[in-house]
Amino acid sequence: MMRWALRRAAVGVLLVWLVATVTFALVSLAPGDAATRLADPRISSAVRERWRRDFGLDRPLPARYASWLGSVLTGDLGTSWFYRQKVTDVLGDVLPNTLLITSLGLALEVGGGIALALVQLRRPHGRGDRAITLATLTAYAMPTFGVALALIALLSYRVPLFPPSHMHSLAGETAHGWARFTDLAAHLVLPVAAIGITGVGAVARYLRGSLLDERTEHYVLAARARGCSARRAMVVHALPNALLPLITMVGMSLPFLVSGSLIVEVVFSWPGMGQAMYTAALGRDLPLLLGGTIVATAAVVVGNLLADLAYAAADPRVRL
Amino acid sequence: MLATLAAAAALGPLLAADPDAIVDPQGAALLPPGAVRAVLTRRDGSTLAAEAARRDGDRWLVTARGVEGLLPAAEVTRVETRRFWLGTDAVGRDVLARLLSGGRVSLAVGGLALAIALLAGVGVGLLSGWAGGAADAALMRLVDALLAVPMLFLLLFLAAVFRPSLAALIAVLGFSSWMGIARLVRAQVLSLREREFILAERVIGASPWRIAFLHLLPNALTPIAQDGALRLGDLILVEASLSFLGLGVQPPAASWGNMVAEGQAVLSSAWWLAFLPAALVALTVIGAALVADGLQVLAHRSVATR
Repeated sequence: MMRWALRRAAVGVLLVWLVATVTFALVSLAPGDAATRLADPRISSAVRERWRRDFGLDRPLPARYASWLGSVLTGDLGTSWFYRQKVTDVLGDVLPNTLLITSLGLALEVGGGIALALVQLRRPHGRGDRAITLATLTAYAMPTFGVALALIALLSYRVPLFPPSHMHSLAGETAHGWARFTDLAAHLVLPVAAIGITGVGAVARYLRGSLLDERTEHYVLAARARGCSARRAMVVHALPNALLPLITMVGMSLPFLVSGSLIVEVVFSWPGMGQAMYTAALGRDLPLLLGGTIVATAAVVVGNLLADLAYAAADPRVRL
Repeated sequence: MLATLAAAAALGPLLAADPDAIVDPQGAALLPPGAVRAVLTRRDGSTLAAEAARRDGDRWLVTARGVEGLLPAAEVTRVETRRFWLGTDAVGRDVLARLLSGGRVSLAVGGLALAIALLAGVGVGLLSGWAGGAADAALMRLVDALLAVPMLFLLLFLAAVFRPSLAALIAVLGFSSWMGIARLVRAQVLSLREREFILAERVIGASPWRIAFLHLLPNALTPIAQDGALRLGDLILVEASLSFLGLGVQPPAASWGNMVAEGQAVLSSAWWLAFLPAALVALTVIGAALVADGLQVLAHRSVATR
């Protein structure tokens, strides 16, 4: 177990290093370095040269790579060209906001998927089942931005229930305690719903299929024969087994969750990681992009590791 | 459904007007679906959309945006009545024409990216499953690693460093989605390679290449086709997302993604501009998923009747 975890962690570190190196190489290859970027064109070339020296840009690439890697290892991801702040500070500000909507969205996705699949299997191939199958297929096929815009058009413009963008209103920004919390909650509804709706289709479709298979397994029939109610047999006996592969599925979908939240954040102007990365890409803020990609890769690696550990904890047959 | 969409996209140039042509930025912007306008072509090639146009001697009496005006007949080279079946967008372009040409782009990008992904995935999967040993281990570690990379961030990164072009978009989409196919093909090969008919081939001295391409691959085709259909839907979704973010297909060329982005600005007044392309993306993905389901049903049926 311990050895397995260590090996996986080592592979993960290797992967993060690889992605970091490739992205660093891309940044170095990109035309226009920090000095030309930050400098006003009117500044004399002598000053620009001094800046290049101060930034260390006049040194050969391997030396720059070595010192960059050294500072990354000590937790210094450089300075954002746009914010003129440490990249770690910028990311530290936005990361919690992203974790907030993605974790709530994921909870909605999995919870909603389980609920829908259970409702469908009360009468498989019945009218309700077919209607929900059509709905989940549509939800799966809708592009994230389509869902997000539909939510805004319906629940913000047509029926003004929820605010269409940002994390706080002007009043909520300055409020404290309960008022601030309700303001945040109102702003959360639409983005979380957008993430949940796009994800719920895949979960429900998958669970319906595996529960349908699981239903005819002998252990479920045995439970029914013992006098277990149909609902109890389904929820207590079949569901946990059908949920097992879902852990892997959620783990595998982590990169998509990160990117899915990117679109949601852009549409809803949510001040999160994806939004920061998006504006960084448009403004060619390469240090921020570089740092963000590394942090996101690390997050996905850790998430996958946790998913595997959760799987092992949930399924006693799996030995690590 | 997928076939209908593909046919509509392919026939687009025959069915509808030039998708990038701006009819009239003032007179024909944000027309509702079904609107009819008289389109006058001036001698310098520019066009004017009017609610009504009537010839009176050597002049044209033109009503545009509720205001009547006069145009010398010598100025006007052509007058036609055009119906904008799905209206026009914010700068006065025919939405139906743009939807069709955008669909052509979306389907082409998705299809070509899928072709790249299939080539790479099937190649790596066959090699990995059939060769086994160290090559297998190395390739599968690579696949594991690439699967854990948040691709959209890398795409953002690439789009920031290099100018986004259609070829680059296709290449990036293709090379970021072959890993799942490789895993699938490898699993198929692993389960097939111990079967008797493969053993028989080896006994009669068939070369490994011959076995791989003539016996292993054809037997693994059904799951590959099924996975490919689902993946086509995913690729079209990713392309639409990138174009929506402004990092995929670049304006003025139309794609469903960037049409939604353009429609977002007028969401509260002309909601259909964002809704129509988004709905078409969804329909295409549903079509792909149904094809995948159908393939599965077909495969089960042929096994059952054998």
